[in-house]
Amino acid sequence: MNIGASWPTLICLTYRANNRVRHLLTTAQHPKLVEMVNEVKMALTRQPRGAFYINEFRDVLVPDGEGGSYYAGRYERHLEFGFEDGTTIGPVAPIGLRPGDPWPGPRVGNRHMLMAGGMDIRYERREPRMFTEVRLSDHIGSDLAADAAGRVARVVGRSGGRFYVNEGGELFAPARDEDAAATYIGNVEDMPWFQPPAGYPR
Amino acid sequence: MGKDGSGLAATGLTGQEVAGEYRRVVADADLPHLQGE
Repeated sequence: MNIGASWPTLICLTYRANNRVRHLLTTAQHPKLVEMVNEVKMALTRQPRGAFYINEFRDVLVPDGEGGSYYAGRYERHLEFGFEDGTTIGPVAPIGLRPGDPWPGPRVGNRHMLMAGGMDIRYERREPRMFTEVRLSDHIGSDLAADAAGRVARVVGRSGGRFYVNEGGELFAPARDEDAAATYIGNVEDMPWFQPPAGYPR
Repeated sequence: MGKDGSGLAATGLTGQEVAGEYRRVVADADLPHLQGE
């Protein structure tokens, strides 16, 4: 593989501290992940670099720019980014963080939806030329789905709304306005949740 | 894995990120450009 001066080797996060301040944070501590992403990007576009996602099952997904994504493998390590003052942010909630507290980590995650009424959770499965709504109740039944949805509803509200799940399994709700912080909901290990997608090595 | 992406495992897994904040693979040379976003 070409490791020239311009070959992408870093992972970059644009972190919004607030409505007016953004930090450009980078890490060079994840060469294996960089290689996984670059390999798929090269296959898709013949160019390395670009965005990627990691879901709560540690699947690394590379978007194709047309609404689909490609599986790049699994990655177990947490991605942490350091500030100049020595503090770090990452995908795992600090000890003592409780539902309803401001979420201090990167606001990077996969979108889910608390359905109106607060009794179920869904996400959208995207495939070429097809969108499928996947509901938690289809996976684990209505009662368990309502349990999980209820925990989300305590933060998001019974009327429903978007929330996000990161690779640490942490759930957080987006800020209601640009000046506010995201809000921590909890972790998937503490509630009934979706099964990992089948068909991928685990 | 084909250059056209054939052989890649297309997923239907959700991949929508929070607007305005995401992670990406970059090179050192990309950073001055990104600073100016």
